[in-house]
Amino acid sequence: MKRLSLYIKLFISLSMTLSLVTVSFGSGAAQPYLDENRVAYIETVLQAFRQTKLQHIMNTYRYINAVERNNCRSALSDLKVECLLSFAKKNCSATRSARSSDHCELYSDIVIVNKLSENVFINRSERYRVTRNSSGDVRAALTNRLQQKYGKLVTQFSLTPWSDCEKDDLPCLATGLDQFCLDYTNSKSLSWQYCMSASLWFIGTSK
Amino acid sequence: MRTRLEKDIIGHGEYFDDAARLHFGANSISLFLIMFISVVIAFNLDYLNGSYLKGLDTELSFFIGLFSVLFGISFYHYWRLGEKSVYYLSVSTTPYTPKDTIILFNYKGYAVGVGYQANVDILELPGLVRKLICVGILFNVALVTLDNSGFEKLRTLPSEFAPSTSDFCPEEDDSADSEIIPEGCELIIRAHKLGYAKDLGVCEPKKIDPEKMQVCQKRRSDEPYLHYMSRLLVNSVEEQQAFFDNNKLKTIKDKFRLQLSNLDTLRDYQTYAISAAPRASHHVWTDLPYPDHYIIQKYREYLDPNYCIERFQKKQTNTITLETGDERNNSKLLEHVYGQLLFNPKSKLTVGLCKEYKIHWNSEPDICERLASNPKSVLQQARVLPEVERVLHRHDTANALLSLEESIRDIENVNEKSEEKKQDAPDNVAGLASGETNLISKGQIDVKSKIAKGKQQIRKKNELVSFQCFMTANTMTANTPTQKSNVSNFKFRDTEFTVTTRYFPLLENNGESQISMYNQFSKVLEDRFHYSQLTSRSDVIIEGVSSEAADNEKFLQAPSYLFTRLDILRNVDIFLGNNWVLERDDLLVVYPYHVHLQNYVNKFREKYQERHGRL
Repeated sequence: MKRLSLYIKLFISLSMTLSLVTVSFGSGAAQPYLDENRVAYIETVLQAFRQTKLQHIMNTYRYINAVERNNCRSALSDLKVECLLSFAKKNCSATRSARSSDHCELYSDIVIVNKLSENVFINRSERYRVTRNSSGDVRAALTNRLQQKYGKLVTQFSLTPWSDCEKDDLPCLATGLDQFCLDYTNSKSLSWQYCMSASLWFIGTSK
Repeated sequence: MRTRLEKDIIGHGEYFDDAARLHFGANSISLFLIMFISVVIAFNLDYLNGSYLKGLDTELSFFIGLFSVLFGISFYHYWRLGEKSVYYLSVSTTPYTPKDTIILFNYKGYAVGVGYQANVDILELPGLVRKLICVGILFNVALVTLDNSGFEKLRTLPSEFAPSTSDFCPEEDDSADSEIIPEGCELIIRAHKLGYAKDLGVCEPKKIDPEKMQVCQKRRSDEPYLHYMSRLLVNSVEEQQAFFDNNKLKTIKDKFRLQLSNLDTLRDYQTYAISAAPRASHHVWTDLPYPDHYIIQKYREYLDPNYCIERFQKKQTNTITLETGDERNNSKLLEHVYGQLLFNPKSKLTVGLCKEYKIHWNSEPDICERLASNPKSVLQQARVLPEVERVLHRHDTANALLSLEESIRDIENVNEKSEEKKQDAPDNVAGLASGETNLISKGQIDVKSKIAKGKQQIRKKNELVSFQCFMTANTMTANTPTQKSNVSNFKFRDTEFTVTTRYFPLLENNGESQISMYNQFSKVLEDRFHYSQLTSRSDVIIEGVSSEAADNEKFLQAPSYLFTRLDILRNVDIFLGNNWVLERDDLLVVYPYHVHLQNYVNKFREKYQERHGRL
């Protein structure tokens, strides 16, 4: 009798643990933008930037720029997003190892969002001004201007208490960046993912 | 053995068996004190700071040095500071105090006093030291009173008094037949001259019309002062003569009489302008509790009148985070929505000033019914009657002022016409007169149309003052109709007002309740406002191409490319009822509110300002 009750208890506790695990994993999969999932994703992006050569990142950057200007030109933003995603996936699947493919997907995500947010960071009148004032390569002038804007954003972040992290403490940096961008998007007119991507790009490519 | 100092003292003073008396000269003491005070002042004002001294202009440094040496030595000689002092300050042991000394106080057997012309040896600073102190005092004075910008002004002062070229008439060569070449057109003009361009386009030089030129009344460059003075005198006399001969005096008299008869209007206008009286008064009553504690709310109301500017125009966030279980959540939400819809400066349209709006919290559910039946008593009870009456009166004043302006214009025109008739009759120059009359009548029409436009621009009274009620749906009583809103009309101070009561449901879900609050509250402020796919900022939906809500939801569940996927939310407007987003707490955190919120607010304000505003 005692043994039976022990089995029953064991069964109940096991089934409860299993259901809890399922629920937590299930919710993680269904809700990838929950706080912990977001922070974990930001951390992996930071790691991907650290572990990838700058040359590979820049190659992807150039590839996505070219795709955006040619194959994925569309007035409908949803179509453009889907198109860029499919090209980025194709590009990353061509890499040699699974690890570098994962990394490629992570920094490609940042490159695509930065591409989509260009018009938000540099509006039409500013774009015109930069173009008019540049004597040489217009594209390079615009990239420099964008880099300045990203730098300004990261400077603002570094002035907040959220940036108070050790050099290699990526979870702390990821949490700080997430909080900073949540606060920034709530008080200013910039989407969370635009703020995140700009900051991650600036931090990740400053090697 | 005596020390050097004791020997010095003995040398100058008198020494009797360990009892001393010392006499310090008043000149030395005064100089020392003045020097001390000047150093303290200069030090406190940061003029003795090394970096400040280094930053001084070289010319100013030279000037300060020269000034302090010259005036310091002059000061030394003029006040005879090199001579022996007439007065002295005596410090002595009590029995040995000189007879002529006035004792100021005694301390531990020592007497401190002031003496005059006594035959005693007086301790004075050496002459060179006194001179140096005088120079030092003047140095401090110069340092405190002059800085680089002040010295620069002092240096350029003589040139400011000198007559400038603008005081003279320009030379003939500068004005007559000259052409103004637009900036940056030199190349095009040159190309045109060489035959490369047929037309100058915008670079066509603007020729000066000689008819429009006026005779220069300023002094000629070679004109003697006396001639210029006589010319000014003659002109002035002629002007005065013309003033009294013509109808101008009558015009002034008539205008003054008219203004005198409308003194109240003019006074009220000035009073309103100076006292920054409200230009509108909009009120919303709600049965929701105060969003903050009652005492805090009242403190802000009476002691911090600019709080609303700080709250709604400077620190407004896109969303509001509500704590679960807080009974004031709905009030906080309402306050947030109210601030976004009416005052958030991010929107391109400004519809009102927050000080002229008021939410009456914790009101009774039937307040608007009572307002419609007895407006004066309800407004008095809410302590807004004087404000509402002031706005209505200000509206009357604005209208009266425009009418007064019109009457003044009429007087001026009538007198000008009679003046013209007087002038035209003897000369009989019909052609010229008719031409001038045409010009004047055109000017009169312009002024009249401006006044008419001004009258049109003044909003109606019921656009400046408005009353609404925003009540929770559970307060709907048996007497209240079952529909969402109830409209009633009433007359107050000869103006028809419409008061709308809207009943809104209380929702638990944070995201859903925010959107619901926007939709409900915008309806109570402006019932004609309707937000739809056509007014939304999201892309046009193309069947077969645009993704459905279910597709979007699935798209945002994938674990890769998290940031890129979020971009599709820019096309998902939650103000249009995309409930799948509102149900996902994770998406609401990163949702780009600002994109759709700004558009929503802009569309609302466009509609709202059609029937509401300020004077």
